[in-house]
Amino acid sequence: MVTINSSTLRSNVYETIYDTLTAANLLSSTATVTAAYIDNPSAFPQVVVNPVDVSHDDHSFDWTHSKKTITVMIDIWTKKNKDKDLLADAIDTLLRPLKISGLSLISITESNAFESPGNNKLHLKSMTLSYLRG
Amino acid sequence: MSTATDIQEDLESLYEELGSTVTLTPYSSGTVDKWGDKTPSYDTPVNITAVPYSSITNRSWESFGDLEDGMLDMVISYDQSVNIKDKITFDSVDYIIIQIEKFPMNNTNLAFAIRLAKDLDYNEPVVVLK
Repeated sequence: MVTINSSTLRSNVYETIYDTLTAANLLSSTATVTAAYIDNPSAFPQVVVNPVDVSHDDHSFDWTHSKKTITVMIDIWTKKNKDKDLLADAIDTLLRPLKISGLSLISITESNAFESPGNNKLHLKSMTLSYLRG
Repeated sequence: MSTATDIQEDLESLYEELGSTVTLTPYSSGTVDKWGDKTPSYDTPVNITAVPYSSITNRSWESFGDLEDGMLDMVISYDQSVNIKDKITFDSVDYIIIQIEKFPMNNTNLAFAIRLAKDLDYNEPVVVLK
């Protein structure tokens, strides 16, 4: 488990999520976990872990402390609707109980989309996980 | 002999001069499950003569990676039976027919111009993009 430091918050959270999904052998290892916009040719079904976003608000008066909201977006690309559901279920089951030191999971939201790159049919589900850190 | 038939015959000669052998695999049917996911089936492949042109391979960036898709146009004989979703293999690359254009003259079709998209073949459980 990666130690979460405020100075390396984004990369620490990214690595934690990426390593957890990679180790899970999703869909009996038929799904590939990758970073976003990878240079190498990819395989489907595919789970893409996007770079982590952090927003700061509710700063203390002297700006030494703030509430941080960490957002992790995971894209699920599949040929089949069923695989999209199965992968979302698997990721939900995996990440909902995952304890990340210093972070509190506050929400998981999902949205569906359809893409046709190069006139090929692809289903997309985006899962957004939001964490709080003081 | 009508003018349309003359043109058909002239085009047949051109296919012999300019054409390439491609493999046409007719789309047959498929079963759809409750998720709406179809498992397509295909009839027996046959070799036909076609005149490919305007072959373009395109690189685009998607969040899932570096995609190499491609488009290809070809002209084929009026007497071939082609349909949307049929598969054509040319130069060891699989394409799917996405557009069919007829050239009618005096109620006679002179030829087919078809547009194909590179088949990224997502049907296998794990498929590496070509």
